[in-house]
Amino acid sequence: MEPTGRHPRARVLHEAWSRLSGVETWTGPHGAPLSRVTKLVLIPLVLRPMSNPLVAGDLLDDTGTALVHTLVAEAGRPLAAASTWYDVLKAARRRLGISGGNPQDRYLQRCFELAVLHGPPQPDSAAELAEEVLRESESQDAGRTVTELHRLLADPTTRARIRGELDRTWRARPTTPYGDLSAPGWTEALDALVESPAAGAALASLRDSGAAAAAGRRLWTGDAAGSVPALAALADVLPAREPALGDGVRTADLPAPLDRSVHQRTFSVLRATSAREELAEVGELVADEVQRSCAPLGLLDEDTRVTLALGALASAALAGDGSTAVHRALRRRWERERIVARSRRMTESVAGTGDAPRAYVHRLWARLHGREVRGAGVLDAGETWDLLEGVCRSVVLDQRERVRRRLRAAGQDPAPAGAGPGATDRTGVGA
Amino acid sequence: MSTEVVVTSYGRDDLVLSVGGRDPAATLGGPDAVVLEADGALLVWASWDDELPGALVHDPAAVQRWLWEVHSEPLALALAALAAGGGTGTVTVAAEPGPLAGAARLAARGHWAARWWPTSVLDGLPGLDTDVLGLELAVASQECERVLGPDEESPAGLLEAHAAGVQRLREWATSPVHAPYAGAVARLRERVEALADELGVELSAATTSPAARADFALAAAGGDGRAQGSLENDWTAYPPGLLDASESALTWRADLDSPGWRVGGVAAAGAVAAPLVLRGTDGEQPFELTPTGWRGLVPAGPAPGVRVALPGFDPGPLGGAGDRLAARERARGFARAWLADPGAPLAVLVAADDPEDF
Repeated sequence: MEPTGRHPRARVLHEAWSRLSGVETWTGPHGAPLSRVTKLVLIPLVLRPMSNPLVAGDLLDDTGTALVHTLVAEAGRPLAAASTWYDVLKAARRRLGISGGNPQDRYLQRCFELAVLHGPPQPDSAAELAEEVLRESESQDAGRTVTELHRLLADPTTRARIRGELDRTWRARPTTPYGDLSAPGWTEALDALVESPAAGAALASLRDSGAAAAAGRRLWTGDAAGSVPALAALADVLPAREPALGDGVRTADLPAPLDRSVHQRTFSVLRATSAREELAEVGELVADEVQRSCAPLGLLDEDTRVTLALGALASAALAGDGSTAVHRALRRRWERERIVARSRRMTESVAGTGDAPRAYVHRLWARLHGREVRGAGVLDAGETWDLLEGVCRSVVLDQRERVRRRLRAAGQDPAPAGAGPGATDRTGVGA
Repeated sequence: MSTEVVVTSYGRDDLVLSVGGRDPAATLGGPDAVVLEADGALLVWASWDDELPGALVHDPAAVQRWLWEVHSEPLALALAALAAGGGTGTVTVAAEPGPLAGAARLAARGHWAARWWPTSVLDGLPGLDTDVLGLELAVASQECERVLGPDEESPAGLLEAHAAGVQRLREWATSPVHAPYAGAVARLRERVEALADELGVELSAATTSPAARADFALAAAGGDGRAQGSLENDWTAYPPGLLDASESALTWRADLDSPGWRVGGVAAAGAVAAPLVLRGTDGEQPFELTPTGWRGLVPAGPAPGVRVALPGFDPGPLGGAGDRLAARERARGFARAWLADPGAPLAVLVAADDPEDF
């Protein structure tokens, strides 16, 4: 619930910011801090709402307002120094010929760090220090690149070793569908997930039941997936088979998640991770993926599998079905997209959107898989809901991109002879 | 000047801002929808001249990050109070357009023009250079970036998609025809280059598309006594750039040689041979681009009640024929208003003043 306060925090920040001097390069057109400066520096590093709950909301009372002014004024010198560092880093970036990524995303926080550690840039040392920072942030990717993955799997000895490991693990996996296959409170959890205090307990009891793992094992033995039939969307052919090791990657049309090769699964994570230094090195990634790809639903943790199963149930909302709180919220989002797409003149026929629940399950799997690979922690109820909502948004954006591609393709068809620019005599109706 | 804004709460996380008594949902989905996907709300300018947009709010907390800079602080606080109550209710606030209201409206108008501009030779509505427009849209979007929601097109994405406009600006800088705009051309180039540097976007790699303009269709059917007439040209039901967006661009005529109706459409400048069809109660017939325009043949019946469609790209009907016509007329009105506006973006000014075409 929104606290009723007196001032929007964004406005208070704007005022406090406009009293600083020397921060021009971090200032937007109307004197406000750049939005990424607010998001990446001012809120997390200057206001620090975790330690200063008074400044945590989007609306502040008078005490919170005064605290924002104090905190920003106190940070005035490092902020001015940091904004100067930003120019130095951008110049160094040009010198080193680095062009990937949004420089604001990559460097704003580094600049504040530099300012706190070293003060304002000094003419004799600044350029060198900046290049060092840039090289360091580029080299953190070493050993965690797509090239490295291709090299590893191109080596015949390594391939044979990994393939042996994959075969052994697959044969040794327990295939009996043990675990509770009935419906132990999925509906209750989906109702509680949108802001109910009962959600944590509902999730915990689902995890303890082992129902998601049991549903996953069902996909190996045959037909449906127990109480969560929507999970069948994870494989194009049932029963789900042993994954291939894989040698080439065609990302344009990845198969269903459980039909992807170990190579494809690892590749996707490398591609989707912005901070690769969080990942293990490629050899370890592949070894882990061999284990994971032989686990139920292609995931190692029951927490992750429960989230996937909840999302699979929720995906019915994208076909207009389901009645839990999660279904209602996702349906509202989906309906809004229908109207927005139409306002954007980007509409598909109903037939084109029929696969939305399936697309949802695939997207959610990829997100959860990425989280496991990065070793991200267990999601609490609020984070679980955020993820389910975020995946809906991804499906929406995928759909927009698909329509855009189709329109572009239609626009690139070569015009028939004589119909291109220069043709004259165009009449509405011929004789 | 202050504007009366009515804020209505329909309960949990569902609020509507209406300006001038107009329902912001009314124009949604049609060719007269001037919208911007803001953080936590969909902004809708229901009338072309409104300074402030109406809004459909779905995340009352998120809108607090920018509402005070578009609709002013009293409105932001009133909305927060109403949302905090959680129930239904209404409050009326006199709002002053804030510092970002102008940029947000420019961005919304730019998006509208990119999607719905009703280019028509028959109606005398000149086309816009979409890449130059896209660059101006990127600049306006950057100015109101704090307002934009995560799903709206980003300034960096717009710059990348319309980088070819830089080449067009270079041509305009040296062309005598565009001499009256030399100042505006130079300013836009400067802002675009600064923005590209700021956002890390590579502009030089872009290749230019040929300017598809001088190629114009001639007008429609002549009268020689045979049965003939015009059909509803619902250009909002298929992608832009294929047919002339005039109401009179689609005509039919009885054919003496074959049992059916010949349907013809005036091609848009630079139209490509998209697989259009004529869709009627009897199914679909191909509608093909020929050197003399779009041509199709439909089976004889009481009247050739067909509409143009691109299979797969089917928005379905939007209201009755009268509503659809009214919405299209409003879109033409928006285009004419912008063409007559001396404060319009460069792409619009240049189109309004193109002696070569009109």
